[in-house]
Amino acid sequence: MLTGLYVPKDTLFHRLDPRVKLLWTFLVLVASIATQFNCIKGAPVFLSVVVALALSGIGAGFAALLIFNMSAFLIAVILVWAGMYSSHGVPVLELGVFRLTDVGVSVALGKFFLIICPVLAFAVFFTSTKPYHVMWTLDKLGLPHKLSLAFTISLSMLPSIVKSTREVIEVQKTRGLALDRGWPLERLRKHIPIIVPLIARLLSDVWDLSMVLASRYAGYGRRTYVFEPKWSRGDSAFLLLSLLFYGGVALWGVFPYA
Amino acid sequence: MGEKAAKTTGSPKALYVFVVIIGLLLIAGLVYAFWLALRANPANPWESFAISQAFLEFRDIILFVGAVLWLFGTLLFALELAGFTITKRGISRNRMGVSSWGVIDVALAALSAAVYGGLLAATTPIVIVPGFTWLRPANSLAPLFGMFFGIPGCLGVAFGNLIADIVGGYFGVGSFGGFIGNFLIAYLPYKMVKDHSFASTSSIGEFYLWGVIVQAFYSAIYICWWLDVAEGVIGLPVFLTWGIIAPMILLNNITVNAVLSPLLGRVLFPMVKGRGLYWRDRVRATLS
Repeated sequence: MLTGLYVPKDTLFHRLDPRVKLLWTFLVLVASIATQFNCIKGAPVFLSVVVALALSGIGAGFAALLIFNMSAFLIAVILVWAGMYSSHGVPVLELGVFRLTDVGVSVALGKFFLIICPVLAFAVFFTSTKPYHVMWTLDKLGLPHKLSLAFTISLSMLPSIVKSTREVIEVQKTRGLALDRGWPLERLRKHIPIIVPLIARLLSDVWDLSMVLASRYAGYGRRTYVFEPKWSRGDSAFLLLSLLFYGGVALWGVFPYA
Repeated sequence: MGEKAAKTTGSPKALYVFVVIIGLLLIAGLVYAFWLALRANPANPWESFAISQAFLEFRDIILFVGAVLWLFGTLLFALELAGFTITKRGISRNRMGVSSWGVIDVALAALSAAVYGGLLAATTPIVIVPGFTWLRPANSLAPLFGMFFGIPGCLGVAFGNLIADIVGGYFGVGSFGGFIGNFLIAYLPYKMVKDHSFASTSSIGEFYLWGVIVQAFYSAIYICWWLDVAEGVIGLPVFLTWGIIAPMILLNNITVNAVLSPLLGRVLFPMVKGRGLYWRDRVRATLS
């Protein structure tokens, strides 16, 4: 069974209704937007998302990995924002033309939280929700079933495609393909022996997958689900707590004396 | 087939050769301009890069043009998914909307997305200047999926980009622009290139016009317009959006699609057609 990004565990987040998790993600986004100009106000949102990662069994290490993956991008964002607010507030560091002020640091970190918090929240959603339930949620949101089906299948198949790609790369390397040598355009051309076998596989997989879908009558008529998530008291309590927490943080962010 | 298409359209070969030359000159010009910027300002070449400067200087005009392109692109996206298309005679049904999809279309959309997203995630970008700019070979598949598989392929590219965002840790409000922007990268050559075989001058010439030049500008403006307008929600500064991201999209999409896509297309088209998955053959079969 293909599970995609889903990590099977029995945690608080895994037991929650997918709709609650999606609403929680939305609340994280709203709170991050409201606190984007003040890192002190944005910090509780960031901490809550890291706690959510820990509660979903993925761990804060995953957050660190994601942040590391986009570190170059995040550093650029932080430096640009810090530079834009370098004429506001009290200077804390001056290195030649580079001037860092307390306001610049606060805004830069606030923007960092604005970017990273929704990313981590969506990571919690996808790693703690079964592809089957992602499809169910998308259906409930009103997306045409064929689209949610295609999206869920592709999300589920991603790990196997990545594995196949790496295998093809290794095989071609053993045949003497040197992807890391030559001019950029030459190295670009060297990807042809990697891409062609993958597409050849895709072309045969399309027919197999079509037959599987046809045999299950997928995409025709109204889709029903055997294992539908049920909204429980726990879901209501989690949503209420989230509303209070993120609503409070958002108010604090928008109205300074709220 | 390619010759036939050239005859029916009546387009001169010289024009297509001219378009290809323009495309290649654009790559050379972009690379040269970036090299000049790097020499002038090694610490931050984007500040001196002519394309970045142009985007930032004419931002007001680009924002206006971008609004029109964004509305038009989003409308096209919605229309095509609903099963309508714009033709010379107006809006007509095209039988490729989601409601008309069969299992093959669902499978094509899903697998194109998985392959596109998987390749984006699994292949290392080719670095041109360390820390500043790189090329993504997987992007060469975007126009090909549109041209070969039609609307399911276009949507596969959009989903694939979304999945790459999720896996790479970039998924957020900004991904919405990338979603439809990538759909358009596949859609423009699908809709505007008449001969998808890459076997004739007209086929390659048209591809260079729509799949390389127009697509690159359209997608760069579409994606960055959304990042700029939604700055308060996404958090990217204007300099990063227009000074770095827009030129990077332009540089990457033009180079990768001009160099790799025609070569791949020439190899893959007979395979796709031989397997009975070329969209025109499938639509014809449905109609007959």
